[in-house]
Amino acid sequence: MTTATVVYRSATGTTRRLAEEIGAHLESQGITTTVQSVGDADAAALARVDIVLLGCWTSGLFVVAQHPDEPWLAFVRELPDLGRARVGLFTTYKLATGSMFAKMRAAVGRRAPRIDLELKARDGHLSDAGRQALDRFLGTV
Amino acid sequence: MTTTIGQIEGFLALKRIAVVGVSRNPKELSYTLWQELRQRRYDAVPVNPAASEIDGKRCYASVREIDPSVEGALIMTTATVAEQVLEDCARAGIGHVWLYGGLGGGATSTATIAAAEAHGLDTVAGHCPYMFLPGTPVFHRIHGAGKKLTGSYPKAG
Repeated sequence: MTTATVVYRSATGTTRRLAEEIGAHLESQGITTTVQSVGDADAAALARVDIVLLGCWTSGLFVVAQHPDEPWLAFVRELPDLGRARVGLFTTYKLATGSMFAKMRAAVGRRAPRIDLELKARDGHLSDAGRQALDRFLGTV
Repeated sequence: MTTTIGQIEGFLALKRIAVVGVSRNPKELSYTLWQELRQRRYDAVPVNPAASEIDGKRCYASVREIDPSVEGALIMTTATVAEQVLEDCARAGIGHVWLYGGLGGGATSTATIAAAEAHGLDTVAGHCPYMFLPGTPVFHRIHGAGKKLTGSYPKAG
């Protein structure tokens, strides 16, 4: 049985919606999935999961200095070694993601030697392109 | 009553907080603020007499029902309702309260401030917690900057 955990940080509910749609898609592929906020998720437990998807809304000054915000960073600092898991990142945004994924990767750092997915959605909905990207990611599991 | 930065920092240092007046509507500020506190690892307990559960979490009708009790209460009701909430807080032994200051005053009024003082509660009167959360979104930082410009931002102390 393949297991997945989708952990999100959402300021207004948009990133939560995307996390829930990602979770529903994973479930539809037969993957036992848990969707949790950074406030509810147990970071240490992610060491035992096959697929980890970490999401955060894009904070920044409109089109510059995009970055994950402090609650997401605080959660990431608690992450164990995710070396046995496939790891992906996702974000929602208004205008541009800019440096968002680079900042997210830098924060995760060595805890996840490989990050095989960067998924973004402006409106918090999993688009057909996003679903295909997710399927390609799942194909590598 | 003048609220100081020290009082605000003291309130935000609490771990278990009741959020009184949480809406079931995800688009309402009370709901998003409750979720924000939860995502920041506060043990934020919803209080709304019209709901038994919000987002899968047990919702209490009154702060007096919460067991184990909370350390503080963020009151996001109208000022009229807040007067009863303050009395409930005092009876429940909750020593710290934040009278949310929204448009039109929110839970803050002359009467609620007087009631909080009469009950001997450590009170943050007015203001929005979002402005004081570390790394808060830019909109709320702008709100705080505006208050500094107008002199209505809490002073050190």
